[in-house]
Amino acid sequence: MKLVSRKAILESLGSDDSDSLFIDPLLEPDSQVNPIGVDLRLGYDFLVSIMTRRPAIELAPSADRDRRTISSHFQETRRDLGDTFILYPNQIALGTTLEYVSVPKGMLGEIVSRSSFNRLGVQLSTSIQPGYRGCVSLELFNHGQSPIELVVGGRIVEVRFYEIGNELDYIDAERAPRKYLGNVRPVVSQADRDSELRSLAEIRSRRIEDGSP
Amino acid sequence: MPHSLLNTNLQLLDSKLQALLDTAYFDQRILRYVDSLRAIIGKLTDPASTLDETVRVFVSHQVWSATEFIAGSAPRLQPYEIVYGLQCAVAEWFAAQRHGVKAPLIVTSLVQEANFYFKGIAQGFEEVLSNYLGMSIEYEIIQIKLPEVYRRKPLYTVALYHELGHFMDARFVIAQNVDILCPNLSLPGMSAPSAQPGFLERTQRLTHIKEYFADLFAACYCRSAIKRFLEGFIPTSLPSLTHPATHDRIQVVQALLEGKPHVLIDAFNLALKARAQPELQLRFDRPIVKSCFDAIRPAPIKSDAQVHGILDAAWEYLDTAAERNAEPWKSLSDLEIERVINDLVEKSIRNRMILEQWTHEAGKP
Repeated sequence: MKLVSRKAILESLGSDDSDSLFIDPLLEPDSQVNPIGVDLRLGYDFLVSIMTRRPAIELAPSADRDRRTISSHFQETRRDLGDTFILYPNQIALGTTLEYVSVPKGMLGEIVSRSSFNRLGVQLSTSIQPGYRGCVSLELFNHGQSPIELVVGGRIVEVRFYEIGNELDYIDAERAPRKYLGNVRPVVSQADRDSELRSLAEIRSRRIEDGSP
Repeated sequence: MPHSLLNTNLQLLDSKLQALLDTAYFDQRILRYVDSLRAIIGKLTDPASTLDETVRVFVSHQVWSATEFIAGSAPRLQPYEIVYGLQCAVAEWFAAQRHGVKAPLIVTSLVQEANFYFKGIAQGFEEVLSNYLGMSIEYEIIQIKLPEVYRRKPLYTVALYHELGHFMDARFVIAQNVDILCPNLSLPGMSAPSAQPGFLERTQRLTHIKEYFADLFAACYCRSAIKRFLEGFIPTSLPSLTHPATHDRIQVVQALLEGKPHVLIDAFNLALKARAQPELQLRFDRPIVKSCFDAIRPAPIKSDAQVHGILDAAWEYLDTAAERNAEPWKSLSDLEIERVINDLVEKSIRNRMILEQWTHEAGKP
């Protein structure tokens, strides 16, 4: 994989091709597009993890009427540009980038938290798949001991783009349905929709019925 | 002294309003409105007050109503992007007003039913506040309700433009003026006015005129989107005491959109002119969404008129997207298609709002 240069990023951003790189709004292109990537800003929608009466977030399929959805373990909140969002120690908050991003089919995006935030204990690392379109999900977690005030619209992560040498598409009808296509706000984990979970539940159920070890 | 339920209600409302002051509203004017409501409650509950009980009850009901809408306008509840569009529309109409008119303030409330509402301020409220309490509120509140399930679905909240039309009608007394200026006006789906109409006929006639005006007001901003919404939301509604038949409503909207003469449109324009208000005219500009939405990208919005126009452009796109046997839509379900397109509309408007704030700040010396 080859790191995409600033010049190539700017060229792709300026292209009319529907498979070009697209980042909108790019408020300060001169300073946001740096020599090895693009700084992205914190968005305005959040899902904050909360305590519930259930002992755990349950992923295994179950007919239990008391089973709660994953989204019930999170609370939605919104902010406006320039507002602050307090990230408490040991709390997961799902946010997004302010920018809507389209990644070409021949590129992979690697998201890393900016050094300034790593030093505060807010670290994240994730990737944007080739062909992805949407605001990028940010899984925010404060590893430090002090609450941190994040500013909506402030630069929080950097994305580096790599040419992958062939074309892959996030929207591929032949593959599994894409769960996060076109998202403009944070979406809770859809880990409970992973296809293997149903098979695993059936294996377990059969084992219990058979009485096998 | 017997227990006063009214005093209890006012104390409960005051507690609720106090709690709302902790809400980080995007629009700081709402907090100032809350301060005004709490000051009113202070006067109503003053032990030394000699206010008549009727006045206290009347004012408390208005405070109660406003509290509901202010609570519903918390950032996580309000459909912020569509309200932004409504604010752009309101600004146009209030710009024609003379100096000294109160600034409008839109507040929303969510309901668990298939209905949208405009709730007007009780007639005489301002006068009662001024004459009996010696008070005034800085803003003119516009109270609108919408189904909660449509909160993040901008295309399905085009009906809020219709509800805003009801506010404009009440504010500028349009329908009543039409009824007075054009007593023989024939309404679609209704027989010609009687020489001496009874209460029910007068009521039905006036409410139908109000509905037609609200539809036309919405069409001025959302073009065919309001027609498409009516066709989908209440496709076969027959005329009732409160609403004309959907078919008749669509016909009237269609006449405006096609620029065809229509007696109702002429009558409204006559009444608007009498109130020194602009005529009914198309006030939107459709941004080009196809190339953007085909690539699943938000569309750039360059003007207030395009904030309204994207609703029509996106409805049209939504209606044809599922029929296209091409990527990206062919591999998505109908539900996913409408979700993605609604989200693209929301993000398109939000990006406009972000850019507006950013460039405003950048333009400061």
